[in-house]
Amino acid sequence: MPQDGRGRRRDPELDLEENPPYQERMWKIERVGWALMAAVLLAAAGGLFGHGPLSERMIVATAPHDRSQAAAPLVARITFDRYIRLHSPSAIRISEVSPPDGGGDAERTFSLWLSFDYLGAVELEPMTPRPEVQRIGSEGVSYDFRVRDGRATVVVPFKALKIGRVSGSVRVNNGPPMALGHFVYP
Amino acid sequence: MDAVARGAAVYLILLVVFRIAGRRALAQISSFDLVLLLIISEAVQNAMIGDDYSIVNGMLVVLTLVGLDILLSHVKQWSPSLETWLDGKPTIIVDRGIPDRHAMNRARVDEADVLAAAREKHGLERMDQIKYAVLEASGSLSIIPR
Repeated sequence: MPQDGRGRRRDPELDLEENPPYQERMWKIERVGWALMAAVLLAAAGGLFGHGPLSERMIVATAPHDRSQAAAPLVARITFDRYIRLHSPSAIRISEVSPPDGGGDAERTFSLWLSFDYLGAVELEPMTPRPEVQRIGSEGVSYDFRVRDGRATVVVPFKALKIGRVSGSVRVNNGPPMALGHFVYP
Repeated sequence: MDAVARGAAVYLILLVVFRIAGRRALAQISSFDLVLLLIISEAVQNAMIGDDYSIVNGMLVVLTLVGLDILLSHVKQWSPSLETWLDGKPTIIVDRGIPDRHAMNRARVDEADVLAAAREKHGLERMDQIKYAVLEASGSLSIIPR
């Protein structure tokens, strides 16, 4: 079959222009593409695009620093997803590790604080449980919960409102601010 | 702006995915291909319109998709090599009655597919009645009888 300089060939009887070098290259690209698709799916299963083991992140909140103690005591574990998607529901879970007074019967306040830079980038949905008091401060909002006994657990559902890096800080029981952040996919 | 960006992103992603999937992927060989097409459209619908169900948003997405299609058709006319990359080229898979096994394997077409197309289009019974079978850029099989 006659071929031109660029590998295209034209069948003498059938008026059809084939391009075998292009076709071979395209078939190779297809196969590389399949491998890439599989890699994307594996990464997604692992949580690179949202909820999953690669995405889970936990930070610990400590009590306000007390000079009499060598290390500030652990107050709560905060878990959230590092990778989330725009407008997709996600949640921050705050679980108290040890109640400040050993978990007695007396009612006490559990307080959670979120910074304005974080609140500006997400849309908070109703927390479980609902806070009793919300207070606006100069740098953020604090949410107070009444706790009778045991350890407090608060779930803060939210949706991200902007693409890219979203960060801010969180404080538990007026402790030092801890960095909180996500990467938001479009 | 959001609607235009969403529509354009979905258009380009689908263009790349279907080029990679190969021309046989959605050539509607089986009835499930049609189902697949419908559920794919359902899956990308929300990504394109988001939570804005207004007529203006819907129209902007439609204009973006149709506009990109017109634009690409002009670009393809201007650059034949780009047209080859975007649309593909036909491949002869049966040449004067002899099946090209390598091309058939690579394009994921087997003899049964060629014979099925030959029966449907020309009422042919055997491979030796086929002069040419061409896998078109669209993914369909053309049969030229002897």
